[in-house]
Amino acid sequence: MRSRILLVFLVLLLAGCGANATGNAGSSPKTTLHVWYSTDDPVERAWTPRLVTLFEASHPNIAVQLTAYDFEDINTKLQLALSAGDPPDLAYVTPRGPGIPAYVKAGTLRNLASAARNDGWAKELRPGLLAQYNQPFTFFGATKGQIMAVPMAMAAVGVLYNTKLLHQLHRPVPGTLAEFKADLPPAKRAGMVPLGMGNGDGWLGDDWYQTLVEALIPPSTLTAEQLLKPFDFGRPPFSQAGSLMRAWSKAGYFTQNFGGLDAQEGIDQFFKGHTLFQLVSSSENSQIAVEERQTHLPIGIFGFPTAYGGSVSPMSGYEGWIVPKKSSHPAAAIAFINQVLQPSTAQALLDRGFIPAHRGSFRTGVAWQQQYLDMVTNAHRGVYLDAAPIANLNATMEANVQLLLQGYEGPGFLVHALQEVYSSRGKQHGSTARIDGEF
Amino acid sequence: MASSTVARPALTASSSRLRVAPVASLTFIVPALAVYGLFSIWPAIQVIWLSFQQWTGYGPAAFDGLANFRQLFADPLFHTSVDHSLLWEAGAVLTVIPGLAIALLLLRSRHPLPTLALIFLPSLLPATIVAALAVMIYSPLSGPLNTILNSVGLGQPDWLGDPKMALPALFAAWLWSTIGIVAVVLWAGLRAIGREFLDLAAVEGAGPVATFRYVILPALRRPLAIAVLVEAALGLQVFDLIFVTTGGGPGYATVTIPVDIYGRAFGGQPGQGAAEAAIGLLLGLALVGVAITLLGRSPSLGGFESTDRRATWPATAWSGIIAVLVLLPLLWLVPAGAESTTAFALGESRYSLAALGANFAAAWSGGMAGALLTSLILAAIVVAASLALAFPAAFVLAHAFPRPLAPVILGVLLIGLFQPAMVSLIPLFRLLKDLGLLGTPWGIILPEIARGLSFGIPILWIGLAGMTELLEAGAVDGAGLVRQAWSIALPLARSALAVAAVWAFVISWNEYLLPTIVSQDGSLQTVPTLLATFIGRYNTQYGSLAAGTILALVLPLAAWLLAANVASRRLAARGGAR
Repeated sequence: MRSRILLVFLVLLLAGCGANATGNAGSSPKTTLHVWYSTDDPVERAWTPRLVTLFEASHPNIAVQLTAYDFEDINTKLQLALSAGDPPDLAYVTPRGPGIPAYVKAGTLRNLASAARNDGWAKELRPGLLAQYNQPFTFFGATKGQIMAVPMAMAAVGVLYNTKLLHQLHRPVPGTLAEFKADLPPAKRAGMVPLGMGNGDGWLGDDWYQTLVEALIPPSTLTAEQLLKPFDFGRPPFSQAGSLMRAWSKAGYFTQNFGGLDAQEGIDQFFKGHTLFQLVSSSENSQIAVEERQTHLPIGIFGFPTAYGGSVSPMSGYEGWIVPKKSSHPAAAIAFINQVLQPSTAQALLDRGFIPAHRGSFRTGVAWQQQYLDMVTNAHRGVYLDAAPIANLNATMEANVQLLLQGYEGPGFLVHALQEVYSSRGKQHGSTARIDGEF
Repeated sequence: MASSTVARPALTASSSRLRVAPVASLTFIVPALAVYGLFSIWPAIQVIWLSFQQWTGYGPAAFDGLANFRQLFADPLFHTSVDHSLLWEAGAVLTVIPGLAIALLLLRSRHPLPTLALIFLPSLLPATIVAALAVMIYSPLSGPLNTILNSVGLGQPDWLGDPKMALPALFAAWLWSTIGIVAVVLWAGLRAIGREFLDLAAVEGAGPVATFRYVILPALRRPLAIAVLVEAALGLQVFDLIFVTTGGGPGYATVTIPVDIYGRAFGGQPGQGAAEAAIGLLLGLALVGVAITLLGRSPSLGGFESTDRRATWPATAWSGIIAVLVLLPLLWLVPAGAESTTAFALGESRYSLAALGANFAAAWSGGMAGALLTSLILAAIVVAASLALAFPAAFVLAHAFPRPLAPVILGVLLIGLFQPAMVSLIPLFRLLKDLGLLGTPWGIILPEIARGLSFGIPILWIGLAGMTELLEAGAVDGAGLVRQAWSIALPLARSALAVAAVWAFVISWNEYLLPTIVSQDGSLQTVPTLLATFIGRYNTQYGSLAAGTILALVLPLAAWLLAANVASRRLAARGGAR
């Protein structure tokens, strides 16, 4: 008898689960907008309901069901959903391959150009950003002028530094690449870790390599347009950047055992107070903010100094909003995008530590965050090489930079691998390519 | 002892079959095969079909002959992944050696069930959590392993960062998380060895080594084959652990077949992914063939539960030490749970009850109660349905099915064990959508039942073999097929039922990928999917993760210890009665 009661209980509970999963939409006369949001940042994840609150306040007839997924999950889920013709109404996803390029190539995304024109999206965002963001998609079948995705916040690379340690060395903030390089030996001699690094997950080494290439190559010779043409990784800066990284690794400038530390742990090490410089992406700002408050370590941010004067801040593959063709509520989805492009959303992003993609002079009361904001405005935006819409270019770069830093291969092999993947458009893998379902 | 030897015949193979009407036998087997065929074999067939197609993952596919296979074989990365998987499989097979050592110690232990429960505990951890633990423990600068090594002057190896060490380090983490399953299977096998054989060996003057060599080992062939099969199947599907920790790196050092399949399937080349999966299936079939051969040749000396286990204190102590060693990595959760995430990350060692409370509150308010309930309900249904479907099917296969077809059915069933889960995702997702099961618990339950059957039916089949004389005697007394199965076979197959139940529970409890894709809006949160939300690319919430993992372990551990306590008392009562 008891087992029968248990069985009935289980069935009722299960029925309850099913009802919860599907019941909301039917019981409400409102339009339900299904939104998928990709983030691995718990601060950002916790913040996303704010987007919904802002939108629902001004659109009382629309209920938003926003679900946050990490980057791996959303790649899998969105491919499955688009493939089966059952996608969400709106999604916030990566522009790196396969990501948005694959969805564009498959013809599964709605062209948002008319909405962008009517609602003035280009004027809301930083100058030229909307066009620059969408340019790589032309390689995958989008025509010039089509808008397939819209960014909201940027992932800009900068150098975090320990101001106390820099003062101990009696050095100013480096303004040139030569000054930056000159800071490393005395820092090492003084018992500091000159360069913070956690490369277990591969992407920080990738950021380092691309930043050094940008610092070594004349800006006019590396443009986003070039990524769409036959591209030459054989140019000297590509191997020079690799050589520099290898030399720094060999000299022990990077954090000890950086290969087994992920990027997050690298920042943890920085906040223990022994690291001079730490390359970071603004996508890590929430972690930096938390640890800065915890440790009260005096920190600052500067753009990476180039060999040609000024600084560069490469933009890593930051996410954009897309509307699938099979979205059930495209008008509501566009209304949501309009909302996230409002200055109020930009200020809310900034308050949580993100760098908004919006135009305009926003201010923050946190000194290092203001430095970050100013750096993004003033530094050369650069070209993020692995944003080239070539499947597996990013994964290949990450794998080979890992091996380069560990001394298992030389810079020549790295550029050969990149060229091979680029030239084959990611289709031929050969001996050097690395396949990664994530990007 | 005498009464027990008379009461139960030995589980020896029998060549005779029960005379059963074909329709009756079909009603026993069709429900199981229908569920298994639809949710396991159909996606596998689709994968094989896809391997011959040029397909981007969207829109129609076009026949492309062997192009996917040609490209695959021309790619050194594929060969690297095969090499790594074969190495992993070799290690997985060898896992039975420490597993057998543990099982032998447990046989002589005074408290085998609680000890076994502790050793089994890591098997209840989702692979994503094992991965997060591995990252913490292997952390080169602040991990406990290197802290210990460094304190005794052995330096700080870069376990996951050095291409030469990463694969063995991950294998060790996997071994830790699966050794309990092997120990359970082999301990059950050891307990089933007839005591009269051990007594006979003693009378003949055989020492421990001779007894092991000539009595125990031959009798254990079947459980050993099962243990090898389980480990090989689990080893061939390792994905989450590698994907979360190293993503296949550093460089290419930890790329295995499942990792490579995922990269291709969701990296723009689903055709190549399907081709590699088809090759993985072939590899699995080869292992199935080996397993069937081993199972078929295995003699059995069992049939009696040994009640006089001659428990010794040294064996009890050693098995206890092993249990403590197995638990050590889990103990790392305690300090992690008693610090704020930031303090933990910064290595500040600022433990406090307030932080402990905050972490547990965060895990709980993050939905742990609901996730635990959902996981328990799903697992309970999967276990119950798997056993309910598997037992009648196994009964018919063992006693009433045409003998020449039996190995074929066994092979088909075991395919499900070796099918890399991530590659059948695409056809499975489409199937669930067409059946209207997306977003419902049944979208998770039915494929999990299918996976439970792939192991449950074979293990029960083996457990039910050799009862034909008893069943025929029952038939002479007028028992029908249902009565024979229910009243005669079922009580004798308790050990096999328990192993099948454990397998189904572990599959369901630890499943991560399926709930993720089935629950489109995230409303069906299970323990693994909830815990995974604490693990981030930029920021892992160690405190909440540790607290959530402890909560997720406490419930099954309490249930197991309770069951172990009841079983111990029953064993003691039975022993006393004799």
